[in-house]
Amino acid sequence: MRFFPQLETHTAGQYPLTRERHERVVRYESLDGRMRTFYDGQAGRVRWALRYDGLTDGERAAIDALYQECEGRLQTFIFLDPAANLLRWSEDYTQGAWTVDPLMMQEQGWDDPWGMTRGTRIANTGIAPQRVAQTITASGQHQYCLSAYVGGMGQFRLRIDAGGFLAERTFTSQSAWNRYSVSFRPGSDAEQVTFSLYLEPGQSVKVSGMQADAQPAPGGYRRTNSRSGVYLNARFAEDELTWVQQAPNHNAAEILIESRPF
Amino acid sequence: MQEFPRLKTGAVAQYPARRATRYSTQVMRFVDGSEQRFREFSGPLRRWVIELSTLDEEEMDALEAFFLSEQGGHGTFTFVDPWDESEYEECSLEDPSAFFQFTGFNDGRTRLVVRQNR
Repeated sequence: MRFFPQLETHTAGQYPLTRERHERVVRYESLDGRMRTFYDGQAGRVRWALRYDGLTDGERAAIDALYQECEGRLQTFIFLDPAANLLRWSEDYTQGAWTVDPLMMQEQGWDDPWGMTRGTRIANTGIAPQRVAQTITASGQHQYCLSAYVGGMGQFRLRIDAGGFLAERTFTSQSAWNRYSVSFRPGSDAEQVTFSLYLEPGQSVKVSGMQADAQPAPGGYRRTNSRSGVYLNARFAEDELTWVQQAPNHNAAEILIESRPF
Repeated sequence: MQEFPRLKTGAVAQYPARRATRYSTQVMRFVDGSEQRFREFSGPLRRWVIELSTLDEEEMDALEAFFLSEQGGHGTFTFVDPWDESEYEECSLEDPSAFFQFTGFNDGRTRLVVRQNR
């Protein structure tokens, strides 16, 4: 699999970063101003404009290598949106995207950090650690950060693992909602990364807003449903890639990437 | 029916705010120079250009989620006119494309055009 590389700062993008959404809607407007619209659900596109500046020769070479491997717009690669949550259904752990161990009980409709009722109370009713986990297709060479809002009194672990390499942190939640995170760069050749929240036997906490970012620290929380920031069939949007070298080891380019939104 | 998202300040729009009022008039000109005019719309239609900047990530996220749930310009929603707080029920996004630009940390920018339908 081909992956869009991270920079040496362990992020994929620099500011300014633009994401465009293009939907296709057919419209008929009558003389009297009435409108009829038809939505073409399969025609949507997402496009990113990544404006890079001050890239080292190594960073430039990594992007160039992917560009050559893809032969411009021809082949696809996996792109992790630098401004998106990589997990699907960030507040609904009953969805199929999540792996929930059998003795982990879930109860929805609890309070959440935003004053709503989108929190889920989870409880480990077994005698071994139980987890809520989601696996994404992503490079084991990249940097990730898993974060979650947790409330209630209890002990839990956040874990990132890929290809046998793992990092985890144990937290003790107090009653108030707080955001907890763990950051890790597996450094393995794995093509899948798993993000988990573990509960020890007898423990119970409220959880909401689980998020994975491909960077060292958590970004602002972004609620997701069936779509996440993992794009499995992204492409370069242009057949020409121009680099500007402003000084030794100081390269700049604007890279356009596009994908269907699912 | 959905409502156009408000910013954390409670506002819908920022300055400079743009609002247009649209009529449709058919004009028939005769050989003698006189003309007859017909009203095609039963009333005016409004259009607002919402240009937003310095948005934090949650506000950007809410606007992008709104754009997706509206399926570009297909869906309709209720829009509260930021000029006079009047409520317009049958509104839609004019453009099936939108950009969401992150110019810095918690510094997002976007532009959406809302049109009133009949």
